[in-house]
Amino acid sequence: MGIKVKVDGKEYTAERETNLLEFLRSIGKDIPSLCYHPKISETGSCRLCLVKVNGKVVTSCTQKVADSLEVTTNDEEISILRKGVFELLVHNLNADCDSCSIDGLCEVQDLAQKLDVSLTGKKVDGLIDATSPVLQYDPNKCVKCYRCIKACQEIQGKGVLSFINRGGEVRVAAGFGSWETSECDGCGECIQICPTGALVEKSVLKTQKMLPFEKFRTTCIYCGVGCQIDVWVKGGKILKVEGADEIPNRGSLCVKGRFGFDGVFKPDRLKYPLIKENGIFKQSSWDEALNLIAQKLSKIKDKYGADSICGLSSAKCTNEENYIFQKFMRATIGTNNVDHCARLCHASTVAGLMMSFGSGAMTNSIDELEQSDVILVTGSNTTEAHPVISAFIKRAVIKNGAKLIVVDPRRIDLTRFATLHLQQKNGTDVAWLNGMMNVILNEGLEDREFIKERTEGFEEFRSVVNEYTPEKVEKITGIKKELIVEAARLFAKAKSASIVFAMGITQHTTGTDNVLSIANLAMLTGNVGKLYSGVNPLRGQNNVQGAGDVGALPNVLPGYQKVNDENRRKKFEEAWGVSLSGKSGLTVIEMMNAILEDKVKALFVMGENPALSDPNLKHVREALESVDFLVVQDIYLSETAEYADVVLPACSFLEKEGTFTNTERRILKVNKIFEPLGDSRTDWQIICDISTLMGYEMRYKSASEIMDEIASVTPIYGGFSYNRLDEKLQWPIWSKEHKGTKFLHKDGFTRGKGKFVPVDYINPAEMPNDDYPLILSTGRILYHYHTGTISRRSDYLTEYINEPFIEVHPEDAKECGVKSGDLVRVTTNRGSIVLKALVCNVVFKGSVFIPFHFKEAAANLLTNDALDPIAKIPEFKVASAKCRVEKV
Amino acid sequence: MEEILNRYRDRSYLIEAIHDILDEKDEKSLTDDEIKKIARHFKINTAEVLGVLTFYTMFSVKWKVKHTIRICNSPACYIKGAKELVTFLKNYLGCDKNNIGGNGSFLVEEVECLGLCDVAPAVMIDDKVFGNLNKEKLKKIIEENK
Repeated sequence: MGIKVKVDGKEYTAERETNLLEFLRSIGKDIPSLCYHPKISETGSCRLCLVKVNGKVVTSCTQKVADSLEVTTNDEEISILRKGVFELLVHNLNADCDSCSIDGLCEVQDLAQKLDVSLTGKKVDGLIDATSPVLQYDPNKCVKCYRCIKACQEIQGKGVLSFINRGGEVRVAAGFGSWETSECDGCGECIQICPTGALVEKSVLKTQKMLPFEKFRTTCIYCGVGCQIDVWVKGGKILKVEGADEIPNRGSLCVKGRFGFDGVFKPDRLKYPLIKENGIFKQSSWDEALNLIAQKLSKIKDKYGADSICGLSSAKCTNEENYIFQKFMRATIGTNNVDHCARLCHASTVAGLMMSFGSGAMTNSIDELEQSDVILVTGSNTTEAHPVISAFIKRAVIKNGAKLIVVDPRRIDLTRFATLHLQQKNGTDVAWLNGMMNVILNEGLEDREFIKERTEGFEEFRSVVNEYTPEKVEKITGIKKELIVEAARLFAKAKSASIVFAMGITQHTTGTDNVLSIANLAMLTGNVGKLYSGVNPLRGQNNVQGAGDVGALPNVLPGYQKVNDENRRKKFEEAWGVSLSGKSGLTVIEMMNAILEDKVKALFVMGENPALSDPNLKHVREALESVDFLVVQDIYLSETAEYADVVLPACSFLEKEGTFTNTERRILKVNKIFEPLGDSRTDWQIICDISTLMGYEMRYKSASEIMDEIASVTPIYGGFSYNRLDEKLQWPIWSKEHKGTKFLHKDGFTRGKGKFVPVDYINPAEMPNDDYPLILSTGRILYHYHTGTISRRSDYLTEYINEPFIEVHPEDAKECGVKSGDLVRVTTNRGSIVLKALVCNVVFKGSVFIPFHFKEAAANLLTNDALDPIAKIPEFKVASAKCRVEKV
Repeated sequence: MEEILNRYRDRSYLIEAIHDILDEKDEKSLTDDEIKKIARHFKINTAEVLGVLTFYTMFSVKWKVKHTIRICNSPACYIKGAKELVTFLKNYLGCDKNNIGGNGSFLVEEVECLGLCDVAPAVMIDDKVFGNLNKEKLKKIIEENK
């Protein structure tokens, strides 16, 4: 209920407890402020927002709307006070606006004009801190407003910054007084909230004046969160990148999204097609390259059949491009041999959740995590792989008092915020999940009504779980039984509980089993199909969700419609005007095997890099070497492209239109900001041209037209078109009127009833032994992205870290005689690499961890390509359990 | 040090913990490593510990000296001639630009009210207090405390 507030003699209605400053601004009152920012808690220190409330001068930012308020927003006394306060604020400030790059974009400059105070440059002797790779802090331009410190703590949950010293010498500091000594990871939230030129990007300092510039909105490519970014462009170059204050990221970004795009425009970008002749790449024209590909593929198809051709689509490309690619493989070539890197990340999620719920995507929205009472994070190093989502989780804990349970073999950053950390042995996930459910059932904490009304298969499931007593589980997993009991109680008793997981759950030979167990836990406690409660697989690539949605998978057509379902297939045959194969195609790893068995003759790769990303690389590289005809379409000459017969230059996400679907099923726009570099073309145009040359005509005027076709054949995208982009819809979008779906399975599961699938624990494919005593796991780090094609070309990201390393536990290090910084050789029975040791207790004794981004010591030379029997996902996370660390 | 830290669990005891740690040490300052340990114990970042250390002048973090002389320059002491005492003291000890003198064994700091206004002007040498001072008395005290 609104209440009456009198402002400057006029009456208004306001909501009780609203921030007074916000309210006054909402009715059009121009009140100056510096330390106030709607995203952080009120500070009330700059004293610029002074108003009179019932005759008394107060800071309006710290007041709440209450009964019988009479506010005067300005009179002579107030304006004298404001001006005086401002003069004090800036008296020690080096307001040398003429030589400042953000001249004209500065809040202090604006305020000076409003309050009629003249600013001058002064010689002030505060030491500038330029030790961060990405930003610079100039205390002489700092108004000590507290915004950066609070943003770091309250928005990002990091709390790296603090004021040091006192009186006139106060300054913002990180670590032991300089940025480089601190825990700062370069997310840049502080820069975005700084009202002056005190905190600025180093890239900005290279420009004398930022104004005038142009600003473009688009979607970030560095992970599945789908952060909305504003790219500031001047003279054809990126000035800086800022987080857009909207869904899903609300202004936040990570170091890659804010500072990593310089890697897109390095001089070695592919600018024209290349054809390999006698082992050497030669520049060619588009006509020549496209004709060669069309002829070769047609010939191979005629001679060996359509199934002798395979295609790898790309989770980095847009929905439209993935749709065109799979249509090309299916309609033009005539095979279902199309797959993409989802096979290596969430194939088991899709398979498992399809069985349990009928839909393989994240059930809830990202922002719901902030409101969950209990969050269980397992197999996701969220801070490094999905940094912005980790900020939501941290805020849930810091601000809303949520309880966090982390189940991870490594002591990841989130454990600092966790109530419980269960450190399981790699690959024993089914065991601890069954253990938790055993406790829940024994103590009668299950949600009986949900089980009865919404699920099936409970009794059979129960009999399996009964075997997994906490004692037994402790033996398998190494987690103390008391911790399992405590975690089970905490999770089961929560009002709303969300499970967040990623590759640590899926990349196992038991990946599908792990996912099924997670679904079981959610159903057992009734934590699915509700607001703030659900099963949330975090997708790794910017469009890995979308690539699957539009059918870049060997067993399903767009919209997860099975290729062997005759009715569905018929629908596509009509739409595309060709007959389609009803035989499921090959998956990524199976393609490589089939090449080596001489069953596959040609491989078409669009924007993927299997020569670095796939397990057991020696085997993969042999396949790439031996395949008769290899086409690679990419923005750089990737490790895979080096094996190609023809390389086609694609343009980057900054040079094309399209859409990405993020991890929470939300369709987001990608905008063209720059003209294609050199002769490069968009991926969909290239594929359309090849298809047309091969006799199946594909002509589209725009990405929007392709999306219309997608919507017409894909029920979950059915109501979508480009004129609804601003709505930022989440699929399923059944019709033009449908508003999208915030969380899935609300009234019923996609498959009808949720299915309990009982799962028994099975050992990983490889276990440590006397020869290879350590468990090896692989994963991502914050500063790099996948095979590093873009991130390792960034000047900023590489300054943080640019060499491979292996995490070794101190006790294991002692046994091998290894110190931090020593070069060590790591061996499995598939290969061997040499890299630097980092001795730390992030890993537990007996295990080691290697990030997989680095080609000079490719972790995937070591990993096991043993597959999950259902999802065909390889065991990146433990399979290479036989591992030896030797000093070299 | 760990023993001291274990007495305090909560961030609000940060100042007490630092006091106790410094009391146990001969050099009244903290190393980077110690700051890191304190930060980790209270689950805060190092900058926050540094912020507290540099805010309170009673915590000396910058210089390693044998004795710290804190002269009050708040109003009561000021009126009773503290300013002249400061000049005298710095000359007497031969202080450098960092206010270190007496062959490196004394650090002279001007501080806010020591709560000894009734015996102004007052100084604190390490944890001992002295009041009703003039130049002669101060000289004597310094010699006795060398």
